[in-house]
Amino acid sequence: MSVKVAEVEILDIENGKSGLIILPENYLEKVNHRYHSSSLSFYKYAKEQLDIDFFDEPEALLEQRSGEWFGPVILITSMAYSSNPEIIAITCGVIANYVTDFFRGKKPTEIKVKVICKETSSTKYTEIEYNGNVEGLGEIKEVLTEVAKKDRNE
Amino acid sequence: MNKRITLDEIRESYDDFIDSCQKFNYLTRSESIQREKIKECEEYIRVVKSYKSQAITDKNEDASGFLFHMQCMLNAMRSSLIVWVNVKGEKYNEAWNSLIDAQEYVEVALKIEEYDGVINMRFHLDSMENAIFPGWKLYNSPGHTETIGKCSICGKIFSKCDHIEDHIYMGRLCRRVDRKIIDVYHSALVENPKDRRCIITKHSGDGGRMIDYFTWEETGEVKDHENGKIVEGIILSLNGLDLD
Repeated sequence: MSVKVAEVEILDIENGKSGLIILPENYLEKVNHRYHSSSLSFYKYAKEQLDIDFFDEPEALLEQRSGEWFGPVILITSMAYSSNPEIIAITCGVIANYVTDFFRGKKPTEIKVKVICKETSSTKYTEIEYNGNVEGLGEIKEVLTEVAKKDRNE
Repeated sequence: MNKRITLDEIRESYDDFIDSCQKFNYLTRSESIQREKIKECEEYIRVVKSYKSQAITDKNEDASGFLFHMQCMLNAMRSSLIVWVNVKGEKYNEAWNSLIDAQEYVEVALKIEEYDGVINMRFHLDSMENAIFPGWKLYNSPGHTETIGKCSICGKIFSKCDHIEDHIYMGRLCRRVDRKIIDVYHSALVENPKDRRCIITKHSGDGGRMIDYFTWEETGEVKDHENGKIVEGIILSLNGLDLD
């Protein structure tokens, strides 16, 4: 299991949106966006429980044929966090439930998920990349909560 | 007036049939009887799918789901019997693909019901794999971009409906179909691929002479191997599993 945390310098990508945004896998590029192939089904599943939308209309999907589950890149907007500090826990719970459903009947495998959140007082975004089993998703929740707390204390 | 058959009666008959097939799901059993059993499985699948159509017409989600479970288990049994026939005919690549088909049918069946019979079938298939095949440390895993495709349940563009991949709706597994590859980025060698049909089939030995990975016999082909070992394999496989 590994959790990588990195600061990413990008222009404001929230585009006035609230809630959660599913970003293209190549969100640092301006054109030719492609979404992880899991993104559409995850969106359909998650929209019943979360305020979630795509960054732009998906047209191309990235299909990676290794056994891991490549989850969508999820941006937690600053507005989503400020209006509901529980959003991190809820999002991690939705991902865990989705993956558990997805792998029912299959042999356990690793999942890869990227969650991005913004420190409201700066233009910086923090990208947290998780590789591991479903049970370890709590780790990403703790890291995200730390990022959010740090921002509130600054 | 025709008597309507109950789900319990269908299940009882199905259990008996699966047991009768399992007795022939071994290497030493007669190939001609295995071929007969494969045909019987195909006929039984046709019957179960006709019951499922009735359950779908009746909008009976539970019955259609359980009949789909039977359909998957019968397909798993059929595919595992085909493994033996192909092994006896020295068609090892086809045998491997049939084994993966059987394992994937069991995975889908397990989404609906889990009981000793299904777990035993999964164990039997894993034992077949370990006993017959050499094992692959690495498989091919391509990365590509593709179009969204259509929903196998409703036929709409997949982004325009609410169906979710790998969920079961009225006895059918939701998949994205009619996808077109836009661009291929790479093919990596991985230990854990999405599709275990994507295997290495040949590699170069001394003097660039190609060797079949199943038999380790030289194939007669000679490749230029000055820049390193040559491997040939399957990059992408279009399986045609019966999941509707």
